Amino acid sequence: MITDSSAAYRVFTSRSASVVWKCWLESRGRFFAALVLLASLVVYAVLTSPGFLIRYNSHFPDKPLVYSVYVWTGLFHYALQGLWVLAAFVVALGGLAREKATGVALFTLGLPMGRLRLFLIRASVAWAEAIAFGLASALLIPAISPLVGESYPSFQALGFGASMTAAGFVVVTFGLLLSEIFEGEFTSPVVGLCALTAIFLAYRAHTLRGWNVFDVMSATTSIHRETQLLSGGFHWFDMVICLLISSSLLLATHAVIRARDF
Amino acid sequence: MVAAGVFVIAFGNLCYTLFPGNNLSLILTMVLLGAPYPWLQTYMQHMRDMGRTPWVRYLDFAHTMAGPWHLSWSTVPWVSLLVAWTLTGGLLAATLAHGDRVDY
Repeated sequence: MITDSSAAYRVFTSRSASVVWKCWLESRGRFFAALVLLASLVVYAVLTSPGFLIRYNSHFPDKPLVYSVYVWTGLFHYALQGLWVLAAFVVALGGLAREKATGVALFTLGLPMGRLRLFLIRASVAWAEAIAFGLASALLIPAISPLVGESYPSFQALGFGASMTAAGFVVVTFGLLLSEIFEGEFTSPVVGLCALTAIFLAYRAHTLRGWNVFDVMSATTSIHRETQLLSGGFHWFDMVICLLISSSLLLATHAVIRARDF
Repeated sequence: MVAAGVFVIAFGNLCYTLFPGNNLSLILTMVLLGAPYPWLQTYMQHMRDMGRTPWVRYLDFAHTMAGPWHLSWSTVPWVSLLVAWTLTGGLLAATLAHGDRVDY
């Protein structure tokens, strides 16, 4: 039998493309599983909204809850955001530290590419997957709202999804940092998810107060008080702070990768 | 909570044996437990509001874990616990059966 080893992978015209493919193969199981989780949450929240709104409005007839408020309060500001944080963190895991523990790091380091570039490609794939989480789950809301006789503007959903994803880059970079520090398969997830969940719930329960990434993700300062839809102005300053935090975490990760002996 | 929650440990165990590595089992366990559960919980809440007690109440593990009744020896949800323990045993047996066939 004759095997043409160059034919199967001719699609990879550059080294980066093959490393992107490697990162995708390693994370696609987590990506699709997390996507199913996010989609099921949105479907559940939208399909059960009529019953919830009827019960709520019968208890508080003087302050009726409208659908757009239900969507922002229940999804973009709470459950969907929380699950997005979890999903974005999980797809950021992996990397050379984990590969060192499983004994395959030397194969990856043998590729004709520096370890920083390997990391940046992995970070790009994780970031792209996190963007897909945010936009797909957000756009699912206007897509299925007509099933329950409601409507939600697609542009608003896109705006909230983009805000969640852009500010949430902090979560992705936090996951990348932890994944390059800890080698154990479940050390990074346990440390990161416990920390993120505790901080997220502390802010949502108002135990912690003040500026936080989660409020930037849900565009809390840019929404209309009554409808809780985006109302013109955008929170650029908060977004810049989030990007600065993300950059600091990326630099810290770079320092960890450079210092580590494989 | 612990008595009924052992089911979750056995479930995670099976998921890790089936899908080891790359943290896939972590997110998969959350999906398989988390995606269907809100529907079951909502359905059970609806049934309780209507005063009905369908058999799926025995699978409402979070309700069992929370100890919804004022517990005494006679009000412990024995059937729900028995279901949880039976499923736990089944999952551990499946994990063992699969683990024995894994080629290392």
